Amino acid sequence: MHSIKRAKAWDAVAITIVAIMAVLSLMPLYWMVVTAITPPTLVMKLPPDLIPKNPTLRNFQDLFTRKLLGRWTLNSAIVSVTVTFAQLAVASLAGYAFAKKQFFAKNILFWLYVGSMMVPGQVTLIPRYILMARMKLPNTYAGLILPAVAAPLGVFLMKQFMQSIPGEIIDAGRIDGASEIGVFTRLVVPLAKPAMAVLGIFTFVGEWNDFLWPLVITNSSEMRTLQVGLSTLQEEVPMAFGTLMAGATFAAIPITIVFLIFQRYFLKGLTVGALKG
Amino acid sequence: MSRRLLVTLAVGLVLMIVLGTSGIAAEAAPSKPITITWWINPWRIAPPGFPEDQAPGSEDFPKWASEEFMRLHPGVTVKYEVVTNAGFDQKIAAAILAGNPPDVLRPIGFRLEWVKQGVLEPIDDYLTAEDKQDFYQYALDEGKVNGKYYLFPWNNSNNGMGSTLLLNPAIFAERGVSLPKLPERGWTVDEFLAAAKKLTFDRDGDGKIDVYALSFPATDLSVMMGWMHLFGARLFNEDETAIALNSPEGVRALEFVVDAIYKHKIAPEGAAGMGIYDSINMFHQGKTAMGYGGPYEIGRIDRYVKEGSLKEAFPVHIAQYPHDPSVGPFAYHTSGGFVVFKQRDAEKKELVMEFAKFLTNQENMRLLKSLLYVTTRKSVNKDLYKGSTFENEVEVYTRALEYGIPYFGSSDISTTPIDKHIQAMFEAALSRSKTPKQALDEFAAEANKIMFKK
Amino acid sequence: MYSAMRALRRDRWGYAFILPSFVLFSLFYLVPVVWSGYLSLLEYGVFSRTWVGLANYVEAINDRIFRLAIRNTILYTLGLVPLWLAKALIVSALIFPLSKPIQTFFKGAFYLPHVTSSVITSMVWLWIYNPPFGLLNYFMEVLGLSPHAWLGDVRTALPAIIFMQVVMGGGSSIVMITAAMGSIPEHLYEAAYLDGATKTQAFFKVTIPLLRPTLLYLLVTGTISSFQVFTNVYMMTHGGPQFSTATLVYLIYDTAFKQFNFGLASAQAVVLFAMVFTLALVQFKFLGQEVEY
Repeated sequence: MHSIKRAKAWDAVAITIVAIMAVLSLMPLYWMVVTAITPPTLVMKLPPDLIPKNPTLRNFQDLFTRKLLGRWTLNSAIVSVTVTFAQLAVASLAGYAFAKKQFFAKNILFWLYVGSMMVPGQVTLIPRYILMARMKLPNTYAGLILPAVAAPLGVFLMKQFMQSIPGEIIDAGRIDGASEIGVFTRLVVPLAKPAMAVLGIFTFVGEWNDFLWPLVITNSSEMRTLQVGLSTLQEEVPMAFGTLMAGATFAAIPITIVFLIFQRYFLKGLTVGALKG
Repeated sequence: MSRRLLVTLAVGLVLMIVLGTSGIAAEAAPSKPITITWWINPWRIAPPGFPEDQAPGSEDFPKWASEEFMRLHPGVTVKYEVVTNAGFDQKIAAAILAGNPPDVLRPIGFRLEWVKQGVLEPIDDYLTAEDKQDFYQYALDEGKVNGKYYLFPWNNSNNGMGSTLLLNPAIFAERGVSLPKLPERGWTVDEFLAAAKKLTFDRDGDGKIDVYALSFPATDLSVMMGWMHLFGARLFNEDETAIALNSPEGVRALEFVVDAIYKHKIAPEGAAGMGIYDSINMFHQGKTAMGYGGPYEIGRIDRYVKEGSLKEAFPVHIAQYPHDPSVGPFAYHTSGGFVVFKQRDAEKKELVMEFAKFLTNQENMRLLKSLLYVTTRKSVNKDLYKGSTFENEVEVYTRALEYGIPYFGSSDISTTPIDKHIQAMFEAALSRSKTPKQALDEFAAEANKIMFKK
Repeated sequence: MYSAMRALRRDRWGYAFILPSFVLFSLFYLVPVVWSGYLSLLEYGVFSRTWVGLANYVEAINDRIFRLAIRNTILYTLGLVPLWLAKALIVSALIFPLSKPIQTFFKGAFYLPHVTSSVITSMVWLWIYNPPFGLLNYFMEVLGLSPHAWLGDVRTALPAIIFMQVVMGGGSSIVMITAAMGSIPEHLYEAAYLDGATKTQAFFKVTIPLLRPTLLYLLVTGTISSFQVFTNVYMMTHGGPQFSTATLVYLIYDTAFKQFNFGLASAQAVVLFAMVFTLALVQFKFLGQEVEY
């Protein structure tokens, strides 16, 4: 009894610490939103007001008068959604193969995947662009989408996760007469849902926030993604700070939504039943 | 026969009237459709006829200029692209190496490396004698490599960083310090130091300094190299074969900066970790009495207020860097402009050059006024700001430029391999981890090795 | 020959599953990577490509700043990755038993800030570290300590950037770990508790071993990303003071895009690759055993 009480007290302390850390890491986000809804005359105040006085949507109105904002958002949505679903499909298949299947030179191939992430993008950018220029892909959706779908990170993630799916479940499925594809879609995918949800979030966010590649591969305002478009805004001489923060806040909304949608799939308890079976 | 002549003449006359009224100097359309690509980083210039009460965006000027040029040259398509400063280097490098750079580009700083790689067109044949007279020599020299020109000058560059100081007259008045005198607003080192000591003070009496005279952004090379010229030091020797910054004059200048922070305490410590935006912010917040830059930076304040980044506007005056009476004033000579990439088609090349000339002609250069930029044409600068609120300030600035020096040597030499070492030298001295002499000597040794292999 | 055919037939589903990924990966990832490796052996210009053998590597290794950047990058990784992982593990363990909405709140609180652009985070932290007027020095003075130029001192600049990354980072690791925790079967814990294990013991005996593939993934990708740190350094210190925050990718960026020397930049990248690859091999050796239960 006593020890349970003490454990509870410890838990309370620990949660308080975590809460403080959470507040700390929320600070820049909070500052961004506050600046976005602060009337223009108060922005850039150092230190900023903790609670904004006279909140306003003027910065957002400024933002929405930008002609191409809708187009940029649409481009980002098309690219991010396509990449996310394609990456989920491709990476879960390959991750499954790496984790549970046998084939020639599997280990070497796996290390090629992992190793290729270790060469910094600043260097591979040039050959990749030259390659895509020869394929006439600059300024197309394909040029934006294909390299991101090919990214090896997702395969690595899925492989690591699928390794811990018990082999007996898969064998049991086979004994029940399911085809290989059946085993994958009806047994492996449901078990891998948490990992797929994580990969979905990571891919969507990574793609939505990507800056350098969309800048390099697109050549017209109409093909820009939201982040590239917003950053012209941020760099306009001079910088419009409130509008910039409104833009950043606007760009963060889809990320938040996607996060909330996907995170349901990895809350405790969802997969336990399946694994027990 | 005579009828045909008459008809031809009549048609010609009508055409000339039509073209004349639309401002075309009887330009023939190209024999085939021609597309010119043009990249520029974000400049919020108001094109002609832009509503006064609105702030232009970065697309407005390039859009107008492209359309105007297409109107003047039927059969030509101009495709502009606004490229952000972040990622600009990567994008242009990828395009150059893939063999599809834009035809016209406003680079962020002229790049000697491109000339060496042979990707730029020399423009000598397209500069008229009149142009050569009208452009400031320093602006043309910015893009001069091995005796050939590669840059159509446009703006006097760098926002005036390293050329002039900004003064906050309210703080000067609060401390009873008088501004240096017009029209030059020059001052000696002693006058400057006396003023700076008064301008550093504890306003609320809590024992903590609330306002400093100024700040030193160690990572901003233009601003810091300005200070290095205080007693006449130069980065390179006369024939640019060795580093000369560690001369006694250079050591004295760096000692002056270090003393300003630690002995006279007129600037905050921690300068080694500060950049130009720290300096701009502190000046805008009224935490330093002096900042850096030229007329453009006054415009920045005005626009920050309009955009809401700054609470209220405050008047700003421009003054020279202080100078040693035996050496005289100095400022940073540099300019920005447009380069033309290698052209394969002769007909297109003419039009691309025409476009670069169009962007930098007298009329269009005047548009830089909407950003409070000083131009690189004498004829434009003569009266661009006449009668404006900023006339005196622009006058101070343009006069300072008459003492201009290219801080980083001529265009035949590129300092990119040693830029980071210059920065490290300032950081070492300003954080007092090395003495000024030690920092300069070690920098000179390393830079000589890198640039001149000795 | 026959047995090779048989192996091919036997493993046909392995090939089928890997194929879509492999095609895309080879074309858009592997080719540029191999190409970069090839560039490191060239003097690479727009119109000229000269074979120089290992000259670029010799030049890279002989450069004092490059060696300094290697040192800084290793220090940065050693400082950051363990702290990231520790933070993520502790936070995950603490929030995992909480009710769903609270758990979601915490995961959001740690993950979402981590995706705001590094430009914005850099700006906030520049303000926090500002020597005369920043938040941190304000607290220092309140506590009676003397203010410090955090980013202006060779001793504190790199730790200051690491500290900022620890506070701001680790969000994706928390998401990843909690997701993996969610798929640990409950009956394993029940069994452990029946054996008389305490919560802490269960954590080390059940949770940690079963998280091993996830932890390995986080360790390897964390090492890769911290070896490639760039934007924050670029925004906050320009590699200074006195190169104390000059990292490898910062230097590679300078070599490639400022000095336009792609051969040398590629050689620097290959050296970086070799170091991370070695580290990853070690990490796999210690954490990579197949986990089955």
